Amino acid sequence: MRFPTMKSPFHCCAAIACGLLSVSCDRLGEREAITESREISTHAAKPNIDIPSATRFFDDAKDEQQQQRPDFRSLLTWGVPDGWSENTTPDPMGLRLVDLRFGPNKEGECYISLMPGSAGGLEANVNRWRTQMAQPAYTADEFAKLPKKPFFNREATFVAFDGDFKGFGADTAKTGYSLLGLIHSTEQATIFVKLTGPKALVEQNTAAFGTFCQSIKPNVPKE
Amino acid sequence: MPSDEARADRVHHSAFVILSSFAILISSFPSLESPIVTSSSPSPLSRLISFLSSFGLATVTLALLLLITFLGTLEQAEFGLVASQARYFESFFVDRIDIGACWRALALNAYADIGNVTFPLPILPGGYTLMAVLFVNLFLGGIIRIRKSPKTIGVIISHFAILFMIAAGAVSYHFAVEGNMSLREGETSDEFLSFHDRVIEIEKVQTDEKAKRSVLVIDQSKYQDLTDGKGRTFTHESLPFDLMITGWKKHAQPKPDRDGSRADAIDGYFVQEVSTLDESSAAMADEALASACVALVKDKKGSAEQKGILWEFAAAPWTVTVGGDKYLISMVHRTYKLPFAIKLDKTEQEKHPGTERARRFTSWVTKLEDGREEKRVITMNEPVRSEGYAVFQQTFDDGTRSGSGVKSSGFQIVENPSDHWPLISCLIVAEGLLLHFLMMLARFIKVEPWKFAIGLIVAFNAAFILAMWKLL
Repeated sequence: MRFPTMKSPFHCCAAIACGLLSVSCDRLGEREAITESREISTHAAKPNIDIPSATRFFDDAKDEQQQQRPDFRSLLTWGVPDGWSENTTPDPMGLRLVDLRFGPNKEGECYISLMPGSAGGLEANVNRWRTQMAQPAYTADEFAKLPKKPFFNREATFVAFDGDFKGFGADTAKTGYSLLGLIHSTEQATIFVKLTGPKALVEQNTAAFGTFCQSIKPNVPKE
Repeated sequence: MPSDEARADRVHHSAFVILSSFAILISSFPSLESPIVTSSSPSPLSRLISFLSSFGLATVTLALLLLITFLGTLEQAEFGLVASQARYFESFFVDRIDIGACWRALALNAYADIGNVTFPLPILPGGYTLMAVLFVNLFLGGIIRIRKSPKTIGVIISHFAILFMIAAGAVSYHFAVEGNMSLREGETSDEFLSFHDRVIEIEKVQTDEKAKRSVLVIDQSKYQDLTDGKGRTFTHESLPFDLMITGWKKHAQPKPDRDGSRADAIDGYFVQEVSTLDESSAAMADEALASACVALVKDKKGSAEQKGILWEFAAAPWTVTVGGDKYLISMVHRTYKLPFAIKLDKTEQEKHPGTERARRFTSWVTKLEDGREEKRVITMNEPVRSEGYAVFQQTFDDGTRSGSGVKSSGFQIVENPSDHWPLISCLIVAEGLLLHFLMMLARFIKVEPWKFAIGLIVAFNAAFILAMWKLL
């Protein structure tokens, strides 16, 4: 078999030039099949869907956004139980919408906090509280048996347990404490109501905690 | 950074191979004094074997290894460890030498600034090629052709150990995987993220929350050449759209187009390239770099197109809706799966007394596998090893850095089939050289070589084991 031959350097150069030209023209035209895939773990966090670009890119104009951000306290209303008072000292993390104290020496505390999304999920947050109380994490069965309480016209998970409480930033644990908590989670946000204090004091204030939780309502502006 | 430390270990590993090889080469001179008997007219094969096993080749290879180690270390100052390692130590040929960067790394620019001078030709063989040549040279010259006698037994053992170390490097390069896993207290995970390997992932959003989730994966090697003006379309039969990637940048940040003047703005943002050097003009660590690109989704059934920016540090994936279904497209570090899950029960940090300086981070974890639970403790320099994986305590956050108020631990996870091979190799090299030098000493002082050498080696080993036992 005979192959066509290049008869002159000109033809050869022209062929190379055409080849290069066709390659450069095809800089956007390459196609390639995707051949790799993987399964996502069942432990993986739920995906964040329909997040706007400003949120995805931590927009530089966050200072402006902060100015426009609504005051979350104004989104809720609540009634402070008798004998309880509001603590005006800001908490170190700045996460508490309302921070209440009770007891003869104000050693009992109860606060509401609000976090965006699932905030790590119910299990992670309850077990975080369990760790703060030096208690082992709940098993899946124990989670399934946790009682629900009405909250915000829906159901919220209620937890109550005793232990030695070592809150965030504390060096030593306070022995003989109790914790009551209510967690309500939606796709948009998770609301926490948490009460801690000496066991006897918490027992005296369990009913007040229930009343306080029921008093928390969305602050719908009146027409 | 720990991953950089791991990479630096590999460079040290190469340097150790060079130094040990030099030591053994010098010690083997007497063993190779007498040439192999050859016929009067050697065949081409025997001449090739002679060349491959020659001292000349060994010397040139080791000299070149020293040279690339020197240049690679200098370039690392401006290009970073990962890029420098890829160019000098993991390559077949060094594609170019940045003489200007090496000049500045030696601080010679204080005397004469030569600017950005680059030698653009691939004249230097890379570390991969040199290691392969050294392996062949050592195998043929130091194992096959070396004179076999009681005098050379120590050298042969050491040669074997060096071959083992080079093999360890190759296994580590081809098969080792390392990355990190971050867990907050109470969280569980069985996946970790690579330090350096990036991918684009496409996930179809499942309407059923209990449905299995999966993603299509595009490796970075398939799009990192797609700088401005270049594009490639990725397709898959399960997708109702084709995905074109273009405008890839190694280190970039999406910036808002406040006045709407940018023609390349997408949804009010454009991709701004950022320098890979930090404030002190040193190369940023690879993990600190955030690549970005432009993605174009083209509906297979129509002409509809959606354009978005993919950014490695984005808080969430880009969501596209095609044919009523939602898809998430993100640029992330490659995810690897562990054969077991780790649940962080509790994490604590211990500080040096009277200071805020961390002394030790410790994590109490539960290893979950096939319904079995096993409590383990991971602390600094005391990893948990299981099924070929080593889990190291890497970072700790008391909740202030993340702003969540929840304590968390970062674990470095390494899967390396040749994890302990360098240690074993070092021990064998030491034993081999000890045997060789003691045999030489015995001959010099005119005592029975075997009894003298073996007796002292047993004594040295017993003392070493006793010392380690007392220390540990």
